[in-house]
Amino acid sequence: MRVLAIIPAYNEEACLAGTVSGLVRTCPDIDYLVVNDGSRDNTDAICVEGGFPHVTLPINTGLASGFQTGMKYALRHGYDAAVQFDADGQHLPETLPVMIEAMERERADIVIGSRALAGESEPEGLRGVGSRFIAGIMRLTTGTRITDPTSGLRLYSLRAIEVFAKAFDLAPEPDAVALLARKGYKVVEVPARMQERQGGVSYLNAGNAIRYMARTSVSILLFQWFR
Amino acid sequence: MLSISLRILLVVGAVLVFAGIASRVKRSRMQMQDSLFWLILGALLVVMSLCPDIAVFFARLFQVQSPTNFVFLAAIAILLVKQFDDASQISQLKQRVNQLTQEVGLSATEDARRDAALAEARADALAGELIAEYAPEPEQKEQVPPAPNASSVVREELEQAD
Repeated sequence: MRVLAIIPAYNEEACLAGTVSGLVRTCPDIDYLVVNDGSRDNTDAICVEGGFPHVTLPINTGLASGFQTGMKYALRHGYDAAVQFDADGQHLPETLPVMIEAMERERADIVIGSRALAGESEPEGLRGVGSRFIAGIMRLTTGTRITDPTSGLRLYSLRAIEVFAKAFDLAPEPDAVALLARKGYKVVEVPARMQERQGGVSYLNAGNAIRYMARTSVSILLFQWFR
Repeated sequence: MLSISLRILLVVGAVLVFAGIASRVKRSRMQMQDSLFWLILGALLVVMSLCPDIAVFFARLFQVQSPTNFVFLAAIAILLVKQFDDASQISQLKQRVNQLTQEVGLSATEDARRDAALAEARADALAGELIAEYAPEPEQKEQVPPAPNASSVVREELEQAD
C-alpha cells in the first residue's frame, strides 16, 4: 500500500525539520508531502534547503484547504492512502505502521489514532467536555462510537481521499468523520500516544475554540442531513 | 402619511446611492451587474417618497402602525436578503480562491520536479557527448549513451527541444 503523509505547515519553522527527520527515520517507506500554507516565516526555506517534497501555497488558505491540497496530490500521484501528520511533532511516526496495518486488516476507510485507547486520561476541563460532547453527538447521529474524535491523526483510504479532494467544504475534523461514517465509510481506531507540541504556537485560543465547537456541532447535528 | 421631511430624506438617500454607484462604476470598483441592486433600491426610495400612498397602502395591509414604520420594515427586509445573498457569494469566492491557490502551489511543485529531471537529463546527455568526444571507445563511437536517470518522457522532450 502506497501511503502519503500530508504535513500541513503554517508558520512551523520551529519544529518542521525535526518532525520530518523523525518521520523519515522511523518510516522510510512512507512518502510525505509538506503543504506550506502561505507561511510568513522560514517554513518554505526549510523545505527547500532540506529537499523536502513540498507544495507552497502563495497565500494562507486555512487547514481545510491546505489539507485538501495534499489530498489532491495524493489522488493525482496514485496513492492508496493518506494520513494527516501534524508538523508540530505531536504525532509519533511509530503509530503510522499500526494504522496502516489496521486499515488493511479491517478494510477501513478512516483509521483514527486514539489517545484514549492508548490509556491516556481524558483531557481535563473544557477540552474534555468538548471532546465528550462531540463523541456523544457523533454516536447519536451515526451510531459510530469514537473514543477520540478530536485526534488529528487520521489515515484515509483512497475512497475517502477522493471525497476530500473534490469536496466543497470538508475540513479534516470530527464532522467529516461523522459524515463519512454515516455514508457507510468504515471508521476504526487504534491506540496512539501523542506528544506535546514541540514548538510554534497552537491555534487553540478561546475564540477559536468556541468557533470550532459551534461549527463542528452545527455540522454534525444539522447540516450532515443535507449533504 | 409620510412626513415631508422623511420624503426629502429618502430622495437625498437615493441621490447619494446613485452618485455612489456612478462613481464606483466609473472607477472600476463595481461591476454594472452588481450595481443593478442598488439602482433598483435607489429607484424604490424615490418612488416611495413621490407616492407615499404606496407605503400607506402596505402599512394598512400588514397592519403596521404607521406608513413610516413600513418604509423601515421594507428597507430592513431588502437589506437582509441582500446580505444573505452576499454571504453565499463570499463563500463561493473563498472556495474559488482556495482552489486556485491550491492549483498554483501544485503546479509549481510539478514544474520544479520536471525542471530538476530535465536538468539532470541534460547533464547526463552532455556528459555522454563529452565522453564520446574525448574518450571514445572504438565500438561505441556513434552512440551517445542514454541518460540513465532520465525518464523516457523527459528524454523525448529533450529530443523535441533539440
